[in-house]
Amino acid sequence: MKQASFIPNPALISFMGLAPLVGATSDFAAGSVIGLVMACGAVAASAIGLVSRARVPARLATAVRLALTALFASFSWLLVETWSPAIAAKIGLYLPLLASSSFIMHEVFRSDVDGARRMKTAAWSALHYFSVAIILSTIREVGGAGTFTLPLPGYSMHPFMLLAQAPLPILLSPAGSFLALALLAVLDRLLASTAYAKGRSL
Amino acid sequence: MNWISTLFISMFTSNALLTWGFGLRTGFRSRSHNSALWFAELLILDVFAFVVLWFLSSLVLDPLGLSHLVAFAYALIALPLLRLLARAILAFGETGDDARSANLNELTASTLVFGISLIAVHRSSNLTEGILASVSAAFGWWSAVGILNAIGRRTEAGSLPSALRGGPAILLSAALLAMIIAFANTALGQGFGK
Repeated sequence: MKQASFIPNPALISFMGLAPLVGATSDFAAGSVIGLVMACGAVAASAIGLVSRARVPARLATAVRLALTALFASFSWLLVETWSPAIAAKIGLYLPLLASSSFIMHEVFRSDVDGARRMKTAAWSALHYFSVAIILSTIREVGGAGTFTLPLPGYSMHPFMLLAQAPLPILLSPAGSFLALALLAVLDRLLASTAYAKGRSL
Repeated sequence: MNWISTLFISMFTSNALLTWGFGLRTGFRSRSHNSALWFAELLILDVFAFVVLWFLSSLVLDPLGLSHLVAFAYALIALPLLRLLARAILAFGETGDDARSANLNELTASTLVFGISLIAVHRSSNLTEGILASVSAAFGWWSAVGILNAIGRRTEAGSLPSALRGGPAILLSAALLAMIIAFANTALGQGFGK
């Protein structure tokens, strides 16, 4: 479970993917919203999978799961657009990914037959994904643009100026996103190994 | 959007989505003896996904003002078709390789991602540009997974610090690839006067 936070693993990656993290976290507003939507979608898809498995004939289960997860993605899009059209325009590309990512969730966790355990795994991964989106978008926006944008409602986004000059503009590019994510992964692994070493010495 | 930009943006999209490469590395290894066939499968599925979604979006959803339901409609209509096509392609020439069948779902889902991404990115482009983008996306993903697979194997076997092995090393490699592709995009765009 510890590794699910930053280190790519089949559940996190196949479940939701890196694409939204790479593409939609260039500012805090978009990053927090996409993280929240993806996290909620993950839990919702898991719940849908459980319900459909229990109450829907096996032949129709895939179609029902697809329809419900796609409906959830469409509903999420409408909610975000109602809240802030500016944020919706930024993350619009990635919301449809939610539907397809949710679709294969059943395949990812198909070996995990225990429903409660599957829900717990999905919720834990969703929480980690949300945390990563928050941290990554903060690092990228502050480091890459010197600003900080809250996900406020409205037709436009109003970034707060924190630094007169952006220290690392490359962080705003997709390559910078990969770099920041790699840095977070290294830090996460170092912290985990330090905690493990301390635990052994006690 | 010019074709060169379309080509390289699609290749970048593929790299960004190599996300799925992490999950597909095992499958890729099992297909490494016949990567040309794997590329052909990707190519057909990508183009098919794009064409279906393009027609669905431009001929049905947009005229009816239902473009917000594109993901919903795609999941209901295109996905079953795509799964059937994938199954047919994989069944064609099947030689009892279980790994190929086992990866059917992942391949289909990954292709779905490409299809959805492409239609979103190129929503204002025409069908020809979109098909070219789909072809380049298949090539981009195929090459990206291949390169990163090779890098992953070398870094696992190399003398990297333990904190860098595995995921972090592959993420750093992906960053380098993204930089190279962005540079190539700029250079070629200038070279073609775009």
